[in-house]
Amino acid sequence: MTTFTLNDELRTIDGPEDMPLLWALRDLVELKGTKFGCGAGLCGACTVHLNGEAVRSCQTSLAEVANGKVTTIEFVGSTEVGRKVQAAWVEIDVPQCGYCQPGQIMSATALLADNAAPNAQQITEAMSGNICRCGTYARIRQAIELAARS
Amino acid sequence: MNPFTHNYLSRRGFLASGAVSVGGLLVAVSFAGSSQAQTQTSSTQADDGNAFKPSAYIEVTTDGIVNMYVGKSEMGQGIHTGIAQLIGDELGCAWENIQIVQAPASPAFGFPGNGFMVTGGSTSIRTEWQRMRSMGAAARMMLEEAAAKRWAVNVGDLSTANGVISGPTGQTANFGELVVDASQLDVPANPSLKPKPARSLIGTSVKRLDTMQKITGRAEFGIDVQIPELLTATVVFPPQLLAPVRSFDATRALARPGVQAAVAISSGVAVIGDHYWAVHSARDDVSVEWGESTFAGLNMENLRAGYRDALDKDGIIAETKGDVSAVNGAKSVNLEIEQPFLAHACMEPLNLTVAINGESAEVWGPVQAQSWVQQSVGEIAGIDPKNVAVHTTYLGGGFGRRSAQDFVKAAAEIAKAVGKPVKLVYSREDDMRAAHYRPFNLTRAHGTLDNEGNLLALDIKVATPSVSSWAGARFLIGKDGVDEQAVEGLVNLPYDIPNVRVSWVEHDTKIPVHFWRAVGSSHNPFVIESLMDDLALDAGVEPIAFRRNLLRDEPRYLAILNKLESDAGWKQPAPQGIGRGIAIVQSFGSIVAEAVEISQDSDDIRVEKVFCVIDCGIAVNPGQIEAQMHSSIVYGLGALLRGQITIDDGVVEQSNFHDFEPLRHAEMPQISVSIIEGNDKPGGVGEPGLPPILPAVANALRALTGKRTLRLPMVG
Repeated sequence: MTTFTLNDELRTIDGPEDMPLLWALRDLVELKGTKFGCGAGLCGACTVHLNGEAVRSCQTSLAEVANGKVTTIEFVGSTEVGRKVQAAWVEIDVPQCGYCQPGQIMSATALLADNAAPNAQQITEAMSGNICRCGTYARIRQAIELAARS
Repeated sequence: MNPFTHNYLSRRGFLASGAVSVGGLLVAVSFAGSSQAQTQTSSTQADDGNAFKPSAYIEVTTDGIVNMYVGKSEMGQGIHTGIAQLIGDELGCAWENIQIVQAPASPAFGFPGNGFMVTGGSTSIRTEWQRMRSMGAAARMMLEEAAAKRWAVNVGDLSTANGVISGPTGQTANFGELVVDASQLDVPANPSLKPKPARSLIGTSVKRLDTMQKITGRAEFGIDVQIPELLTATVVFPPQLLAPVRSFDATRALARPGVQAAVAISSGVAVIGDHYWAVHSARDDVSVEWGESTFAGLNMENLRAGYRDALDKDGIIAETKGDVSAVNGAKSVNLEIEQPFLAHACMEPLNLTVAINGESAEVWGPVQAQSWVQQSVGEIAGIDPKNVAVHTTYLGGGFGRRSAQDFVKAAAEIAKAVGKPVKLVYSREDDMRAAHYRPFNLTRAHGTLDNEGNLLALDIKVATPSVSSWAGARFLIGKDGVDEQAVEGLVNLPYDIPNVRVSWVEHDTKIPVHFWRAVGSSHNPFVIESLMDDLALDAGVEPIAFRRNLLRDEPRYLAILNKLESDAGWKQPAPQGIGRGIAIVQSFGSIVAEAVEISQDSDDIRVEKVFCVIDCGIAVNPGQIEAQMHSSIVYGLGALLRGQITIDDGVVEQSNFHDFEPLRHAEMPQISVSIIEGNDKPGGVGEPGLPPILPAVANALRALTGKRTLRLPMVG
């Protein structure tokens, strides 16, 4: 049993303590927006926020989130920064297949929540852990810059 | 006849496909709310029984929502949006009232002419260009006729835009108000299509219809499928490729919480349980005794030797012009170029959900070839393929991989064995090691110049397996036995060369291969455009000028080269420390030229800028064409710089994104895309941006360092 705040609701999850948050979210809570890409912290598709920071949920156990605050793609739009990021994603028409985009948006939102006006290098550093096989990187950068301005 | 390249549109095709009823099958397709946010509320009340359904593809409801049934798999290329543009342009509906419904597997949604259902080969807009516009036009004509009758006016006096029909004296009616009347009318036999200047959606960069779902986590991919009583499966695959299961012991795995069963299937041992983590973490508790792999002992050294031996044999002649053996030139260039196996590495690992229920079966998931899925599952379930319903979800990337049947067969075997609905999910490692790669290939290329630097002859021989045979797409193999996928990009070059010989040695290592983005054009143009650059250098002619001379009778190519020269500032000298290269390639009905600027730091190559010019004929959605150029360039650069699958003692050496690492944000070049618009018909856009990027970078490295790249990847 692990208790934590998930998308602003206190939840108790009945799963093994070593179960990755990714699979607890997807298979125990039925929040399937957080994506499985590599299972090894290499691609960023599973990125969520833990206490406001971007973490790879495939590398984060349930035990590690106990009493913490977890935000996923399904809820990030209810934050001011998340809403701006999603609006910018729409404006720039970013996604192609879309599979990596929840992770991209969670990384971008964590960046902008921490640094409202990141420079090019800071954007690169914050986003280079998120792989996109469709090659939407240029539009992701444009969208982050747009969200930062808005 | 080749359904991937033929442009079907016959009156018969139109009528036949328009008449197919798909009603009952659609109920289980859960794409409610699959369009923009603002349409979602109304979409839930879509069919009130009075909807107007003039064809299998279009349904207009009484509240004016236009449901468009699209059979093409959406894997990022934007086809749902593209099809909506084709239909919507002729129909004259309001863009925000369009709702995309993913269509079931049915011949109506296959290629016009043969009903075969697959998304690939950059064919979708090309093969649907006439049919979808005709369907939209027919529906509009019927709605207009209903309005004309109601108002007792001539149809010719009506105008239609944004889902509203307007009469000559101020009458107006929304589509929704006319659907009941329109349903009584006959479908017009020969709808006329708008001339180009009258088009309102085609040619515009309307935004994608799937974005809202994809940025909120609501888009349903195959891995997200949830149905009652669904179990999840993982497969323990053999370390050595395709080794059979001799015996296994899953006692310890079955003792773990959430694990329900373990069964041997053709490709390994499946562990089935309540959810992914339960079965994934039980894998190590399955001990398997594997039989002998036919790949035992296979490594890159003996694999390469096999390819070199193959190239010493005579191949099948795929093209011949003049007489290359009679040419006596002044200078020649010889290249032998090796290109590796490549994994597709889609972001969404392979997965599929299958339920077999007696005489029928249902499949949910990310697939590119619904017709093949029906055959595969039908065979394993022992039922008529027609009784296999396929619910296509969004695809988290495809690149050809999801038209292979290995994961489909594995999922069907497991579902059959356990007698319950099962979702098979590959780990990233399983996905990377599941073969069906872009084939390894080795090519010898020989070019001959005369004293004045004119290109007299090209003699090319490629050793590569037949991807079309592997895929079961034998219709892509010509009467002469040549697999067109093996030689595309080598034959029918636009360059004016008097003597040409292209031959193919079918060399098959038995490692499964499959379509990989751009297929033969992912590797053959690399050889041609590398050779062209070396020939230009030997001729003492600048690379664009050298190609321009050989393309002097090809106005489309010349226009592209001129535009590229100006976009890339080619007439100015390259900046200090920068190497520049270009390449131009026709593939999938479009022509793309790319120029790059690169720099090199020790052995690390950095691609700084890419200039891309495409002529894809009619540009249906310039914004999405730009996106596909970016996509192909990024995918190609990842492969070029460090993409390779290698084998040691029959074991695939790569496993995840650390040793098969795609391009990342930090490596993204500046990319500019120019579109040269044509008038006759659209070309493909999902793949043609890829072929030129690889040789353009290699040519830039040659310009910078004098070194010709003879083996990929460039960096490793």
